[in-house]
Amino acid sequence: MQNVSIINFLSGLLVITSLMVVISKKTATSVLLYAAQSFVLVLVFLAIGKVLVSPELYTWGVTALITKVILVPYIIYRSFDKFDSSPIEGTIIQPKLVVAITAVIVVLSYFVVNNIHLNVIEENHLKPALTVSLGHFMIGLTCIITQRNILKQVFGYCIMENGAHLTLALLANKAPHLVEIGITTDAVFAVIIMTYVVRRIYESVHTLDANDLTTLKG
Amino acid sequence: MDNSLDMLLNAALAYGIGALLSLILNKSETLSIYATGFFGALGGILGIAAAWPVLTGASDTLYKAYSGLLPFTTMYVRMDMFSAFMIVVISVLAVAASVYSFSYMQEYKGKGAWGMGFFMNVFIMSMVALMVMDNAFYFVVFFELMSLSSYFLVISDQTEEAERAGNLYLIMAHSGCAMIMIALFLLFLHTPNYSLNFEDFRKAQLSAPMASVVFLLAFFGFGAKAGILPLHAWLPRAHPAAPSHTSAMMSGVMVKIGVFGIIKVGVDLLGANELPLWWGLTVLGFGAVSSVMGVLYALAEHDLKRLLAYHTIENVGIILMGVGVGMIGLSQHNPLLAALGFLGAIYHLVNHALFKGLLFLGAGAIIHSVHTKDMDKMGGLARHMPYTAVLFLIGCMAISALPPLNGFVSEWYTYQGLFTISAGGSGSMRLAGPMAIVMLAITGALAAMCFVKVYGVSFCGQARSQQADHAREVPRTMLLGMGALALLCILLGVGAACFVPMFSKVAGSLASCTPTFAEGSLLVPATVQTSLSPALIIVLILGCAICPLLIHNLTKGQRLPFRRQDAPWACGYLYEQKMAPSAGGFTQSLRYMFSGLYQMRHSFDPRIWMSRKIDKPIPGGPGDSVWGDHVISRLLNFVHGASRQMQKIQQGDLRVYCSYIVTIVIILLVFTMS
Amino acid sequence: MLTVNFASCFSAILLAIVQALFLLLLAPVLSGIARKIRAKMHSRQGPLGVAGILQDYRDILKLLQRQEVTPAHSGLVFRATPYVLIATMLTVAATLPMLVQNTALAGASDLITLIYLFALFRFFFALSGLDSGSAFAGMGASRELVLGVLVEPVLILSLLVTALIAGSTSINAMSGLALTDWGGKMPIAAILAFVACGFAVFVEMGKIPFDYPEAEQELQEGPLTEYSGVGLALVKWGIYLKQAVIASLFLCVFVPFGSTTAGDNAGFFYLLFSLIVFAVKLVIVYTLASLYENSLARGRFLLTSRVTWMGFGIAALSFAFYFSGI
Repeated sequence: MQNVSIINFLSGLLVITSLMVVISKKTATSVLLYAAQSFVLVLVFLAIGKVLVSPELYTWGVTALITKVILVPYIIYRSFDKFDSSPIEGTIIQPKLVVAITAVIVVLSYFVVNNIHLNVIEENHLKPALTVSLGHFMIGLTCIITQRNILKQVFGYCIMENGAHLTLALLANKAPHLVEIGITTDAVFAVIIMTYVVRRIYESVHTLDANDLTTLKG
Repeated sequence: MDNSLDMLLNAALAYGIGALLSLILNKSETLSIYATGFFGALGGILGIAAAWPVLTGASDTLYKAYSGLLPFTTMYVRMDMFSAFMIVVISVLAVAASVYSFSYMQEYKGKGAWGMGFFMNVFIMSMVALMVMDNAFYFVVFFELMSLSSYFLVISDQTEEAERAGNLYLIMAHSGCAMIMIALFLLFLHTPNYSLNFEDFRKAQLSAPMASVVFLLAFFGFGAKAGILPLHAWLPRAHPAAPSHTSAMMSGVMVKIGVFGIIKVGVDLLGANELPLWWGLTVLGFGAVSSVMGVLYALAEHDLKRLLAYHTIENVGIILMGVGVGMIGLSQHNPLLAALGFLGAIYHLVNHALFKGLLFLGAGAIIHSVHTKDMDKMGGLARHMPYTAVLFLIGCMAISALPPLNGFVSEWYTYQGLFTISAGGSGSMRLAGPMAIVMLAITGALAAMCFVKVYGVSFCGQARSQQADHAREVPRTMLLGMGALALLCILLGVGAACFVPMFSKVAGSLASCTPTFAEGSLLVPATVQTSLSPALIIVLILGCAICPLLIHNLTKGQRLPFRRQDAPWACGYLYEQKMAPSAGGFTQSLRYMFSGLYQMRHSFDPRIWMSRKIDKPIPGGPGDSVWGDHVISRLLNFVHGASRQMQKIQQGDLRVYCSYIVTIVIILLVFTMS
Repeated sequence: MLTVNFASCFSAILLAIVQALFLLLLAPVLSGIARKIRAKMHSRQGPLGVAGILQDYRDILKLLQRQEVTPAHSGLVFRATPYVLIATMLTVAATLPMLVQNTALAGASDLITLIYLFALFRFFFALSGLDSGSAFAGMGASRELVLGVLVEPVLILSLLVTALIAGSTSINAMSGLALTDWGGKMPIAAILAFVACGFAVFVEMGKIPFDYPEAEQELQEGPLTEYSGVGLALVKWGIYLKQAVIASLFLCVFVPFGSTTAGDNAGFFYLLFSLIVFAVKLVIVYTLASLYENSLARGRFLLTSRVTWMGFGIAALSFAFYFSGI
């Protein structure tokens, strides 16, 4: 296999892992799968770094390894450990529908990306990877919409983030270190804040079920 | 070479004489039945003889003008390969139906058999004539003649149900015809010299939107005739109401006039204009949906003839998938793909005419013996009517597209056409192709299930009623009519390699190329590296059957001989006939799983909204304060309703807000795409 | 095709016969293995000893010596079905590129043709159930067909993706691509297609939760209810053969490793080698399928569609990946 198709191959794996994060029944499994996904993302960074000859991506990869593969899953795992009541599981729609939606999303993203003409993408046949990065963002949104457990919705955010990172790596791979490190650490803080909010919600209303959290409703 | 056209005129004359004789001989119905049948068959044979030279390519496209009294009534007649092909299809079925009618129509003695004979022959004649008309005026005249004569055949039973079916049919046929007339009129406006001749239509240059309007009008107009999905409701009511050999003609051929019209307008008359991709995709989409829904509705039926009528919708859908592929090929300037699509379409067109004709004639044979259309009152007919049973089984296998019969070969070509679309081209083609393939596969599986039900419930097991137990084999002429069609079903399947070259020429004439879809005994799709040999399959199956037969004979030893004895097992209880699976019970689990799709059936029924519109009281009666009741209160209601709706938007659930974002994002993405 | 000389034509036919008979003879052994595994997992003894895997052979041989008695109202279809079943499946077995790539019987080894040959099998199997007039057989026939409707889309879509990657619906081409360049340019799509097709094959092999082999009187094997003696032996054999054939189709398309590329002129030892390899692959597939099967619970039939839609979802995802070029 050539280098280019490795990037596409890995980005395909990204979609599959994120799909499994969404449909996995247990939150603990989701954490593991998310870590695996982030690891794949790191590999994608390295592959892109090699193909597009941008050493910045290597450092970005290392940062992502620390933050996304280790820190974020750890934080979520710890915080969900604290909620001793059995967490609310399941989606509001059936997993088979999520799979179908993912298929639709990928097809839709293809049509969108098909109209984008960028030299760096076309020269290296990276359109599939760009498709995935867009689709990934949408899968994250799907996760947020379909999950009942608000902690699981945090994963939706993380998946969206991974998608955005892939887009960045593809299009702005020559960005300076500082920007990249900023972006990656940004994610960690967001997750910390979100898990904190989740914990506060749990302390005050004793539930993580999004169906019950509709006090805003007029 | 005016010979062919003169011969065709003779064929039309034969039908005409048959019709008139039937009218004259109304006192002696036996004679009128014989006259109709004989001249119908004669007309069919003459029709085949007339069209054959053009079809085989021995003679070129024929063109002739017969002048009339007024300038616009000059009749232009044109027989090209496609219309010759259609004439052969119509004529073959007409011969089979006419031969069949000799005995079958005896049932209708005293119920106006002479009138049915008259309308039957007029009906066939108008269809044959329609195929060669090259003038919009006569085209519409014969189209109307066809609709009207078939209307009288639909209401021939004179029951209330038949009349209601007839009325619905008349309304649908005429709304369709109105659309066709508008389409033809629009074309007429664009001809260089304001002429009604199709020859001038072909030169008409239309702007792209105008061409699309014409095409869509024609598509839905002819689609109503063909029974494509949202316009299908009349078909399963009207076709079964007619006598069975007429049902065979209506389902086997008349709906194909709709397909013919779509190709005629889309490919032939608008040929001077660029064919956009979405026309083909539209045809493909309507075809795919029609095929799946048609067969799903058929599954829920236990009225044999209505079930067959639903299958007509399915098969028209499959034909239209082929047409869609062909038009996509034309739009992509890929003549080979276009020819492949049209080949699948016309091959399935003739196949459907054959096996649906066979099945309707078979249904007629059953009704002849058992006097019911309800499958749950049949059962066990295979023992009483063995020949009908075998012929009907061949029809069932052919329509279920089982190899190596003809239905499979044509669907195989359609599959290959769809595969070619899926493999290359623009994004929408690559998406549409696999979706259509999956729908075709579901259709195939459902059709097989449906015909297991049809054959199993009506011919297998024990008789379910007194009449079924006393059923008798039908007379020879009826068997002859069915047998001829069954034989053709087998020939067009196993011997496909002999027929495909001829069909390829017809398909090629539509796509303006000369493709080869058969190499020796192998069928090849030309665009994909693969092949099919139905002859090889039948040889293999027969050869492999030796193996179990050998096992059976070698182990004979001291085994006692085969015997049939006693009732089936029923958990130790006494077996009763009522335990046997019924038509409804057989498909119960499927109807449960696809219940959502079955509910859609009502939303497609035009009678519901038609009656709603009609029953609605007319507003603005005397003493009605128009201002107060109609403006103010409506405004108030609107504001009230709108604020209710607004409340729903403000849900309080994070996920709902997110879905708003998604919706907006998708809308924006769609905008960027176009 | 037309230019092949007599010798290679002869060898092709010989090879087809060898393949078909090989599967026919191996099928009862394979189902015996599945039976043995099931017994072990249920903590039962099962058919005794290592020779227990030959139990299905013993059953068939015994049945072959028994008289055939059918219900009084059953007809010709009921009588003919056992022969049609075996003949159809032998046809498929003869045309698959099992031992060598590029079988000469290409005219019958197209993807669409094979799927419709399976439909022919199903058509007669279900029809025989109705022909017996028995309520159980009729129910079994209905279920068999419904399963067909549910599984066919999964099977065709997953194989279609593979065919699209290979550029042709010919099984030879699909098998050839898997041998030289597995998954071609789109390995992820191919992997998902592999999973979806494996799922469909699992269902077609008649496994829990889609069938319950020990209760053959009531469920999918319902059409067997009224068969007896030699007829029952042949129908049973036909079903074993179908399971082996569908597993072989799966192996040919996705795991063709071990079949020789030398064409029809391959030497005897090459062929023997690939024969053994193929048998081993079949045993592995059967073992995995039985292991998985026995870890599942039995579900309600009316809810089967929920499970199969998941399979279809995977196939659709596989197509979406192919579509976007991954």
